Amino acid sequence: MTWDASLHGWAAPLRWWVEGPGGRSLRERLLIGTRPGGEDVSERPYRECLAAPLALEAAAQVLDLRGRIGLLHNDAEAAIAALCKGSTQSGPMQRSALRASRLCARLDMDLLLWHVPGMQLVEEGVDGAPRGGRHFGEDANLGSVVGPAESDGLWSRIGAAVAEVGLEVTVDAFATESNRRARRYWSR
Amino acid sequence: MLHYSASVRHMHILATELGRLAGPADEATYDRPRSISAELRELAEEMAWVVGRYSEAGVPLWPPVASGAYASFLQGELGLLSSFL
Repeated sequence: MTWDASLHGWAAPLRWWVEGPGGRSLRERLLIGTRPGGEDVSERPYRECLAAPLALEAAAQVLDLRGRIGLLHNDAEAAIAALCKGSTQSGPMQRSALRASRLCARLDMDLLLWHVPGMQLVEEGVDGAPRGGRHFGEDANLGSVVGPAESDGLWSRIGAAVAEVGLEVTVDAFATESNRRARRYWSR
Repeated sequence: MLHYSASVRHMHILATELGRLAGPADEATYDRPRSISAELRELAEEMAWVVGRYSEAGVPLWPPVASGAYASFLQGELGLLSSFL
């Protein structure tokens, strides 16, 4: 599930495999929701963090999630970190992390969360969904979406530094398929 | 509890909450009994339930890397994920 949030609500395309007589097929459903009243969504990480348990709760109405692994990605690194570890600094994000954690404990479900650049959400069509609330496609805020990645300048400096000690970079630990700098990659 | 959260699923966020509710304390007072709030007591009961429910299952020593697991998912290679459970 990829999720994204805005001031208006959240959206999350949910994908899962189904075994059938004709073989395995990938199913997809776009989940869209508004925010519950009373929640602090004044900051973007708060919104993104809150959207995760809301989307999970919606997904649990569509699928039997018991015993499953949820693969969730989003473009707000602070929200990802809070959902993985909790937050002692932010009450709103800790509440959202607790909500997600408690749901997973009840369902015997594990989450794998990771950060992706905002551009990937645009490419997947989810970025516009929580804003328009109707469509699952091209985003109107394309120009304002940025994501972390090694810039050309930084990459040159990294290359020069490792070359000085006779090494080369073989793994990019800050990458996705779309912006990787090495053959092997991952994102935290 | 942070140590427990490394080996018992669904404990990490609760351990963070425990730290948040308990607040800071001088090391010299660690072993002294303290009164606890109703909220803290409720959290302790929840943590006891999680430990009882999930402690025997443990956690994988080498859990899948999220991005790699996602690539496997997209390709329909679900063996990696099912072996994690």
